[in-house]
Amino acid sequence: MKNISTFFISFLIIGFSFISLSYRTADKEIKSVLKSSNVIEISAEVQSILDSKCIACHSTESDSQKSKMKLNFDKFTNGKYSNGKIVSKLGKIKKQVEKGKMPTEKYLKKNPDKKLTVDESKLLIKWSTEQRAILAGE
Amino acid sequence: MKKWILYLLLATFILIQFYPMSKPAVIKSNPSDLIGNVNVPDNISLLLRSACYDCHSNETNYPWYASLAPLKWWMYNHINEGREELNFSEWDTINKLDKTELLDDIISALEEKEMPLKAYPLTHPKAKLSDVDRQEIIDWAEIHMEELFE
Repeated sequence: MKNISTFFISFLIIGFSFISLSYRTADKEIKSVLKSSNVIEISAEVQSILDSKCIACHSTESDSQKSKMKLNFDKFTNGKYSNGKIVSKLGKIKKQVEKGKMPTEKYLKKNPDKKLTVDESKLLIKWSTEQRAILAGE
Repeated sequence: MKKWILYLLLATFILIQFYPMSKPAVIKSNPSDLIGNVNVPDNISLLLRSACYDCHSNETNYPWYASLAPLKWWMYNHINEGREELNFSEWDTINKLDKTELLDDIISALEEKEMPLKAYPLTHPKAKLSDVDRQEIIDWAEIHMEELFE
């Protein structure tokens, strides 16, 4: 009997630590380092969307390894992403936003104010499409 | 009693063999293949062939147990899915922008060790990639991504 309750309690503890870990990114305020560079143009409007809705997870300072490995906005302008890489990331941003997959549902549950408005989504799609075309020389 | 269960298992095994499922076709000649169209270094093409091509090309080498259900259901699904996501045999037909994204996907799949799938190297020892192997493929993909936009 004692064994079962020990097992149950450890199960709960492990479960809760997983849940709290997954929400860690939610609490952190990250200052933007985004700016236009000679490679990519980021208008003030786009920058404010990226700052308020994206970089909490997708920047070097983020706690979420997975998010920043997939996309790190700092690397757009600090030379860490090659032009080819930026083209790929812009294409992926476009697709994710078009499908309404970002920010993730899980993240929005905790941060409902981070949801992209219709106008914001449109602007991000337009921006990623245009910048990608310029970089790809098309 | 034990014998009875054994017979039942055997009967089920025989019966499920008749469940139809078509085998993903093997095509040996692929004029649009990555390796024939892009200058891929020999060590990289060897790694790609031994660790990726069974699911990510038309040149699948099926093992002898590939025609046995239920294993084949699982295997055929993986191959179909793999080819749909990325088929090196059709590389040259893919447009430049999509190629870039695929190269980027290859890099993340290798970095995050999502690929090759865990079970695959168990039966294909040559598909077991060391960290050095992974890095070599990643470096090649990074370089090729740049080449696409030169």
